[in-house]
Amino acid sequence: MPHRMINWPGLLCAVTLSFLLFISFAYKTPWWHLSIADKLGSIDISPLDVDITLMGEKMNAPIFWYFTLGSKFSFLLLAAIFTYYSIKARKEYSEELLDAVYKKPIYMVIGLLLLSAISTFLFDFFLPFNIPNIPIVGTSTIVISFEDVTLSVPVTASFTWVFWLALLCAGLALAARVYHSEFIDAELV
Amino acid sequence: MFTLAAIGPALGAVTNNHEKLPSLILPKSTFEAIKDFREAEFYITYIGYDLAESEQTLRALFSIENPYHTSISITSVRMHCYCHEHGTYFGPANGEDLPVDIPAKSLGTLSIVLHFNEDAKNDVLHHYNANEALYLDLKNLEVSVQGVEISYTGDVTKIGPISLT
Repeated sequence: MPHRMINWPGLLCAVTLSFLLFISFAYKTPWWHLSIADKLGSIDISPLDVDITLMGEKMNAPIFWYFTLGSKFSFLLLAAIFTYYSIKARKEYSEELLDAVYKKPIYMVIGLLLLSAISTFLFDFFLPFNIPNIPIVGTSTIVISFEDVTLSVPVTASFTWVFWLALLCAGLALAARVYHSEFIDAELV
Repeated sequence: MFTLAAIGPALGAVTNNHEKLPSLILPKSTFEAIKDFREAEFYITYIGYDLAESEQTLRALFSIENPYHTSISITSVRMHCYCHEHGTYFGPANGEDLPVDIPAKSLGTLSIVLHFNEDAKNDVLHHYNANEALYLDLKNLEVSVQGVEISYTGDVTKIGPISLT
């Protein structure tokens, strides 16, 4: 009886995806966080949630909610397919299934990076003055001058531990593809 | 399949709300919040003073209205004080009992303390009668509010009246 071959990196990727989805639902943990001064404003971004706050007011657009809902469905689908593929890696359709999904986690990480850049632009749009040099990572002091007033606003941005977990997930997805080629495909041949 | 899962909800939202698409991107509540933020003004009103002759210290009190939907915390206040009438430099003044926390949409009180220097004492002794009032000009204001450093290079003039009796 042929033994079942499990794609372990794929299964780990599926578990990580499920965990990412769970903490997004349970804790709304962002992948990228920007804070303005001492709790004056913030942007929390992940492919699963977008939250923009300024002076205690939420500045979220409903369209964000729909896009992140779509992301949640995608994550769910991705986790389900990765799980199924990983435990049925020897099926004749498995390679096609893997090829359909293994790049998706990488696209999500890239999507997050783009979303972070767009968010800094949107934040600038919401405010009544131009804000140059909003960082994607790190701390910077934004200086705004108008009439006799100068404001020096510290802004800090960083990727959270969840982002690095998502990056690990993307790496595991790539590793699953390599694993399939090196071990599962080879054994089938 | 993934494309449908990813953009399906957004497509559905756009289809169902095609007659009011701007509200999907910028709903009325957010638009009003942005408008309120852009138009918000701080009202700072001089409300009184306390003159401690023995310590030669003046304490000026200001009422500050917080126009935002979040509390603000004033952590540092520094300025230089001058006699409004004669331009004499009276010395630096600093905020007292900081930080001052002002709840959302509420009033708070800020106390500024000035220790008269020698020029200030001479100005008051030689140029003012007991029934006259003193007025101050405030210059080079520097305020810290929750990590934001605010510097005002203009002059805040004629703070008073401060009775010298």
